[in-house]
Amino acid sequence: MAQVSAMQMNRLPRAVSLRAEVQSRRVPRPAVRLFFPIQARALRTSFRAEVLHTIYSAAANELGGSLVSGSVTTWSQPDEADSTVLVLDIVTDTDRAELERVSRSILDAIAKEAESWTDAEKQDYSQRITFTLGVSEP
Amino acid sequence: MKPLDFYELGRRIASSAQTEAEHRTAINRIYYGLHHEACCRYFRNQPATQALNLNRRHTELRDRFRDPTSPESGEVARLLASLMMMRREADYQLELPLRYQDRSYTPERLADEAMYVGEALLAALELFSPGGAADGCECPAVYSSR
Repeated sequence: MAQVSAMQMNRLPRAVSLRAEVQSRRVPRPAVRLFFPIQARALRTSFRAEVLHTIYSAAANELGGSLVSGSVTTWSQPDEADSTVLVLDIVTDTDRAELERVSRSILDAIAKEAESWTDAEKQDYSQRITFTLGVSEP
Repeated sequence: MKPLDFYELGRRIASSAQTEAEHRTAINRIYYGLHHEACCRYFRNQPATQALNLNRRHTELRDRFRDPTSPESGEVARLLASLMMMRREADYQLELPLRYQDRSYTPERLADEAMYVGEALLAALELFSPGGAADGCECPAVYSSR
């Protein structure tokens, strides 16, 4: 892609300059960042959504501007019945050495929340929810 | 043999891999080595617990580590789950690209990722239960209707 200087950017129509900005960052961060919290708030009527919100909030607090995206998918193990889990994928632009610290903060936040969970909720968490942490440019 | 022999083989394959099949095989060996290692350390740490159900031994092991009140154990579960996802892509998704963390990967890049995650998982296992699994360690697993 041709480089666009700041002066040239000011002369471009907004749509074009936005596209250049997004392409230069490769990930359209603001759109992704805004999406998940809105989605999570809308889903917070269930225990699983509350837990996903806890994980995402702890990651956002810890990472600040280094949080690139958060998205939820489902996953299951081949040939193992009833193995579907909700996966919250958290992508950062921090370095790998930071991931362990961020993960620890998230798991500490879960442990704190779990003090008020029932045994059934603890089991539901163990069997149904996980998260991944990765870097945007491995 | 020791469970980590699979893991070391996977790392050797990854470091010299030339073909897509080799990258995929590296991911598979890294995962299986660490699955067995995690299982042996889990039962060494929790000797009185019920054997795994052979029909779902991978998810059951991951879930047992995912104790919400224990961040040490939870970190093992998170990393084990990540490797499970990569292994499923490497072994079952023959059409490219491979997918992980909602993103596209080449087999080579996914093998690199598996090596990073594998190293972190070994470090987390050391905190959970120090010392490698012994020669011939077998993960306790039985067929069960539960």
